[in-house]
Amino acid sequence: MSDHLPTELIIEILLRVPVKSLIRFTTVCKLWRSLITSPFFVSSHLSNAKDQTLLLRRYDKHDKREHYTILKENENAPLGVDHSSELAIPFKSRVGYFRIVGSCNGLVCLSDDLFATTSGPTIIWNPSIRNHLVVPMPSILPKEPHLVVLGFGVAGNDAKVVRLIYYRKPEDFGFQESPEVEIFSLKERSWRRVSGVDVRLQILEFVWHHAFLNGIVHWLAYKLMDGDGSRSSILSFDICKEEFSEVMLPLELGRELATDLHISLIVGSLGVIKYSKEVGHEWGDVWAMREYGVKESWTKLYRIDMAGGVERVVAFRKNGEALVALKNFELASYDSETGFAKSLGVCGTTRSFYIDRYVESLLLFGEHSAGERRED
Amino acid sequence: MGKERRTNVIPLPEVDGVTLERIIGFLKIYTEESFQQFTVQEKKKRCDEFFANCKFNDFLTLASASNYMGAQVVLDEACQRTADMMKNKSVAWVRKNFGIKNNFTPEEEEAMREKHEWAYEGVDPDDDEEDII
Repeated sequence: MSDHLPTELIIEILLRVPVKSLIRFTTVCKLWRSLITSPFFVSSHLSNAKDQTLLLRRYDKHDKREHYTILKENENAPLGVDHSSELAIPFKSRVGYFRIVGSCNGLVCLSDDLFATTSGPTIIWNPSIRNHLVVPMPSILPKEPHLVVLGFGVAGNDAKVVRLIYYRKPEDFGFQESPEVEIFSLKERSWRRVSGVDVRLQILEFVWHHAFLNGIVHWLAYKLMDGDGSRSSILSFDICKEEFSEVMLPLELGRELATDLHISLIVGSLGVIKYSKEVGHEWGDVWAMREYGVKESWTKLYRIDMAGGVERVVAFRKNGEALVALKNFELASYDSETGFAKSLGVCGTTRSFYIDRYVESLLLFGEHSAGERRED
Repeated sequence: MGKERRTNVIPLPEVDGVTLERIIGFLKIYTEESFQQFTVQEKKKRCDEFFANCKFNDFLTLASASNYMGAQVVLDEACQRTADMMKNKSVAWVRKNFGIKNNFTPEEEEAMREKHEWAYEGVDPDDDEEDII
């Protein structure tokens, strides 16, 4: 076919081609390069993604490395783990493994702040095209003791990292109610302070993590009440609007200690797991907010029996099935009807397991961070 | 053909007879009730059978014709098959089969390749000519 195909037809075809091939085809000719790298194509290609895949991260204490693998989701079939589809990771955390802040649209945000006493770099990584960006140093770097919480999301054609800095109160080792906030936007390539933040919710030190849904980052939070009590809640940050809000929890969850709650995503809804850790009463109740923002729609879905060997819930599959970390360092799928956990043959330290929906994308294509290509 | 004069002939200068037959044939299959009841795998098998004799260039022609005619389901199918056939091919193969002239200088091309060398690994060798026009 030597007649020139209309550009729209070339696009229709290329939208169905996987990213590795697309990267190669940017060298076919200048037209193809500009087509493939255009923001319109990148976002259309993303929307076209049909394969349901999951990203799995685990830290192996034997080889002392973290491993990232892509898993194919076949609805209702057991989750197949194919170790041959392991992703090459071109950087290594200083100690242990990275905190995965979040992942979205094929981008994974990593922060080296879990184990060493000082914070290391924050990285935005696209594993499917092997490009990454080391986020530049933030602007708020206090000398006073403080807690840093990060959020990551892609919305409105921009990827953003939001950084919350809670200062410690010198008098009682608690934290100031409201954090200082700055945002890094991939488009702007710099940090920008957000003023006028009046958040009266605090976030647990160290163990924080978030759930990203509908363009909004959600962290489990708590509000100190008069007297000695606290109420658990969810702090949210809209990536596009750059606004904070609160998602209320029902009484049954709000009255629990934030340390006993874990935020998650369950089949497209915001979810919370309420853990009971008393000896002889070890279980995890899975709750989901069926209608976003509607407090009354929080529903308890089922209870996970943790007396037998389940350590914690890692994530949920598309069909609602729970993926759990076992005390013997294995990943398993949990059948809520039988109460059985079936090992998936994947090992890792229980805290290191991370699973999230994953999609290939061309975001960050052409990005290289200075001098940080390969590190063994 | 009867003796009465046909007054409803629509000329399609962009579409050759073989391709038109394919489009109509595929649409016929696609709109069959039995086809609509198939599982995803069964549908794929039926389509694979239908397209068994098509070469790469046939898919390009089919995509072009169905695009021109607005036959969306055929377009989707043709584009998907084109994409599947080309995804593991080399840059040279793609240029040849799409009739594209390389307008990068060797230096530009080399610089681009170096940035993503891994994307050039595991590509089908170019030895067989069966996919050319």
